[in-house]
Amino acid sequence: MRIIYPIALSLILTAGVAWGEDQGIKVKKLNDRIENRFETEQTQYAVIKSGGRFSVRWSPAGAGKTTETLWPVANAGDDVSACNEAEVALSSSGSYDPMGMELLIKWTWVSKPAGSEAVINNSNNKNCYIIPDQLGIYTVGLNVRTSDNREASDTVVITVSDCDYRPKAVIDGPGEVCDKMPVTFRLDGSDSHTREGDIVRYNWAIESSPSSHIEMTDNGREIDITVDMPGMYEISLTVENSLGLSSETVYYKVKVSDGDPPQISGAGTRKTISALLLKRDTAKINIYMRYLSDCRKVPAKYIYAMRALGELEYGEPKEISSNNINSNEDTGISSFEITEDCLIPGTRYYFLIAGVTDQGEVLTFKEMSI
Amino acid sequence: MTKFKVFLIIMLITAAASWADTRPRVNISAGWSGALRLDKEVKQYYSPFMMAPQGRLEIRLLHGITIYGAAQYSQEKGTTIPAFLYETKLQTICTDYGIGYQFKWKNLSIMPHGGYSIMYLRESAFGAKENRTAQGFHAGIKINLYLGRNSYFLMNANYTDAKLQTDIDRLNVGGFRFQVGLGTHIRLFESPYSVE
Repeated sequence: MRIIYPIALSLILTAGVAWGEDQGIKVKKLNDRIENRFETEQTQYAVIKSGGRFSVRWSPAGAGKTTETLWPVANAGDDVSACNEAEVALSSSGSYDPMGMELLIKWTWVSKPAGSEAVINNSNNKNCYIIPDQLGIYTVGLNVRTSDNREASDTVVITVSDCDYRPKAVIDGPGEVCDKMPVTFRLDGSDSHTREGDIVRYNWAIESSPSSHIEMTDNGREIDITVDMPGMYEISLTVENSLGLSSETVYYKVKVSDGDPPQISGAGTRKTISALLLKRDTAKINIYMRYLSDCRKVPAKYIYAMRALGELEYGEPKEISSNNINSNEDTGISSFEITEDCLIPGTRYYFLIAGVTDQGEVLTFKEMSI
Repeated sequence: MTKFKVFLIIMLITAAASWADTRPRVNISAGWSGALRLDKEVKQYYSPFMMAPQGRLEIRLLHGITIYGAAQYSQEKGTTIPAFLYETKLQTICTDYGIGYQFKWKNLSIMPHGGYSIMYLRESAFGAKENRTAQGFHAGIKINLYLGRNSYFLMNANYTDAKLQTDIDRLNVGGFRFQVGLGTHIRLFESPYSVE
């Protein structure tokens, strides 16, 4: 029997409110979270949420009765199929609250293809849209919430496929080449594809390069390029399928390097040696060379030169014997020690340490003062 | 010293000797000198005891009053601080100028004396050379033992306080010196009228 009371009360209340509204009775919202109060000329009703249950009180008799909770309905729309990189609009217009309260909308990602960086635009609006950037299945979640914290969720699945019938050119390559000049690298266009027909033509071109003598051996899908100068090379590929459709031109950059010289660092100490009348300083400088990448350009020799503060030019460079260079295979750091005597006390000295080629080209250098 | 000053000194000596009607003597001697350094810091660089050849020129004026000039040359090796990193070489010419009075007996004369010392120092180290001068007063006593009419054996002991100004402080590069040597007289203005 007790169950009948809330049902009956709810029906009475609903009917009363409906009747009251029909009769022009004032409906007063007292606050958003807990209480809604309805008034007629004779009777005042109050719907109170307490512990997830709703009770109805009315005046003058204030006995409370419990009624059923009515949840909002979320509707994200039907699942859709879409083209890649085309706008897909989503709508929550099918969502509603049976109790008539306003809904707070939030669209969120449930899943999307790996590598996709697509975003939901207007994610707090009733209508939103996405622009898929990868082929695959995207799932978007919709959450609706009322001001009194009743909520509901739904999802919509978007299947994204490639709607472009033109062939696609794809270049695979080394990205970075490190070797002695001249160097040959190969670019592969065999991952290029087309939905209809076959790819019948590969058009390779050098878009940009350092001033260099370039030899190209075009084998269709693959191309071998021989260059004699380090730098950035940009190569383009356009493919054509048997239907006569051409792809968009794709570009690929190859960084060609003949190696990175080591980074030089150092630390030194200075000590005064005194005789009765003469005083001189001696300096010991530990020099460390560290390669920052596996692509190494090894100097043929190291030299250093010295000058005192105020002197404009360095003195005659001295060569560091390779016997004095210690290499640590574990750390990849090489080091040597410079000892210079007869420095004038109180005078700052500058040391220039450089790694050079046999031809005297400076590959790396470091200036330090002590 | 200018030629004029030398000339003036000679004239003064001549005038004084003529006035005294005595026989001025020039005593020339040479020998060996040993120097004992006292300054702790100097001893860190060079040996506390050093030996060197020395020469001496004395001019006895009237009675026992004597002016003298002496010089010694030394050359020694030392080390730097920190020790033994480098070898250093110090060349020193020590000149003494002074006056004394000879108390003379038959075969012996004793002369207390004092004067001014100028030390010329040249140090070589690290491939560089540095010349400096130290100056100061000295005082001592000299004994001549006569071996004959014109020759004698000399022993001289003196203390020299020669200060060398460095960047940090003043060092005493002098010390005690002991000299031995042989000498001879050169008699000037000898005449039948001279009175010994």
